[in-house]
Amino acid sequence: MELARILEHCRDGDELAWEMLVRRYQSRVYAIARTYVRDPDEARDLAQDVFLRLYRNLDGCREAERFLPWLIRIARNAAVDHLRRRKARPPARDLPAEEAWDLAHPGPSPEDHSEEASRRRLVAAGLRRLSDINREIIMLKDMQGLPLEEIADLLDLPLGTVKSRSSRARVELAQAVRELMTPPGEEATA
Amino acid sequence: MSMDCGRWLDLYDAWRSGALDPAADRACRDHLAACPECADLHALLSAGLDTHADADLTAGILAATSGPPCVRARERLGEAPGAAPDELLAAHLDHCPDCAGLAAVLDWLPVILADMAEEEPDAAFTFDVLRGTAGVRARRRAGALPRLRQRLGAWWERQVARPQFAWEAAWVAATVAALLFLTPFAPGRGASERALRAVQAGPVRVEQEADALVRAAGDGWSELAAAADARHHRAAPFRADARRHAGELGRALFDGDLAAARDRLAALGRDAADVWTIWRDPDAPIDSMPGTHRDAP
Repeated sequence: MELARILEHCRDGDELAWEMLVRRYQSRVYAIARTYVRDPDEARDLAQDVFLRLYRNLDGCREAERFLPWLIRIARNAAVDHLRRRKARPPARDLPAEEAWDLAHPGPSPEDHSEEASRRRLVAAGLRRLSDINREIIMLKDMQGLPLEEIADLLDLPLGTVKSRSSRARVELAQAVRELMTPPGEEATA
Repeated sequence: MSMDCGRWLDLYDAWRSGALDPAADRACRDHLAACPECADLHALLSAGLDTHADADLTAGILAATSGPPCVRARERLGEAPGAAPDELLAAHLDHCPDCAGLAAVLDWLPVILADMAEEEPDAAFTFDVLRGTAGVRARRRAGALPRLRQRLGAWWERQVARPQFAWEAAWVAATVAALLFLTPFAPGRGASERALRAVQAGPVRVEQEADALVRAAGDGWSELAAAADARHHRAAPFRADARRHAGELGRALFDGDLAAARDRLAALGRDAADVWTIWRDPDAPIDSMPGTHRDAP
């Protein structure tokens, strides 16, 4: 079903349309939440909060073409609010990135041994080494595919700054991944 | 034509590259055969030209001239991830293992990042979201008043759960007690002495004192209301002035007349001071008369 029709049905209070919308976008919202918080359970709560906000503001987006940027904006705002609240009341224990990843993906499976799974693991750990703003730009640009103009608007930064930061952040991430790939004791950087 | 060493040295590079005409080429060869110093230099330079400069030499030259090229190379790599490097960049990558390693990561990075745009939560996630939004829907259908009651109830539960709540409640209770028993118009003023006397005098006296206390409380409230009413009436013209001056201040600001605005602001301040004086002491003399001299600029 087309997104425009799903949204229309959702606004009319159709529970089945809402379920379809949730199922269609939940993995994307959860992935966004995971870039902001390390703990999988916390990310799950954050993703749920995003959908509650979305449900309360379904009238806020009338154009289906604008839905994804709008959803990402809601997710980002929810994440920022969540991090502010958490700053005021920190969790009992903060997980290192690698540990958090292990919690989210417990036990080795055949897939874990594939090269792609290994690279995903490295990139997830590399992302944790970036500054908050660089990680956000990577998430918005390279993961979610938002145009630079949209990112500049969302982050309230000049377009030129976002452009330069975007390429720099990518190289920083590649550098971090290289360092993680290098066995301990060997130097990866020049 | 004989050739001296200086001339031979000038032509050396051109001769080595075969760019000289036959006569000049022959003159260079003749000089080389006749001059042992130039022959030694030629042997040395020929040996040097045939060996590759080592990496340290390149790095040293670049450090002394343009600086290390890796910074620029990485900028270019970041600008177009996954794209084939141009000739200059490719030449750098051939000689720089660090940048080549970075380029290799940047080659597969976009695919992995795009793949990470989605991550499936656990199977119960959808159900939990639908349950949460069903609650929102139910509250919407329930109407505004029950929703407000529900919110207030939730707010109260949050307040009560806070550790500071006991302190705050004690503070509020102490303030209320002070207002009821200690202020000049407090309805319960003197209650403690009366209660003590009544207890000492016996049960009949307790009953009389209780009646007296209720009457005193009623009288106290009446006095309080009368005093507030008197102040309110006396301050009425000054309040009217204050309203008028506030309106004039707004108009002056709108017109950009800053001098008039300053005067109206001063008049407004005087109005507020008069109102405060009356509320503090209803019999206090007020120098200014409402609606008269304060309007003068």
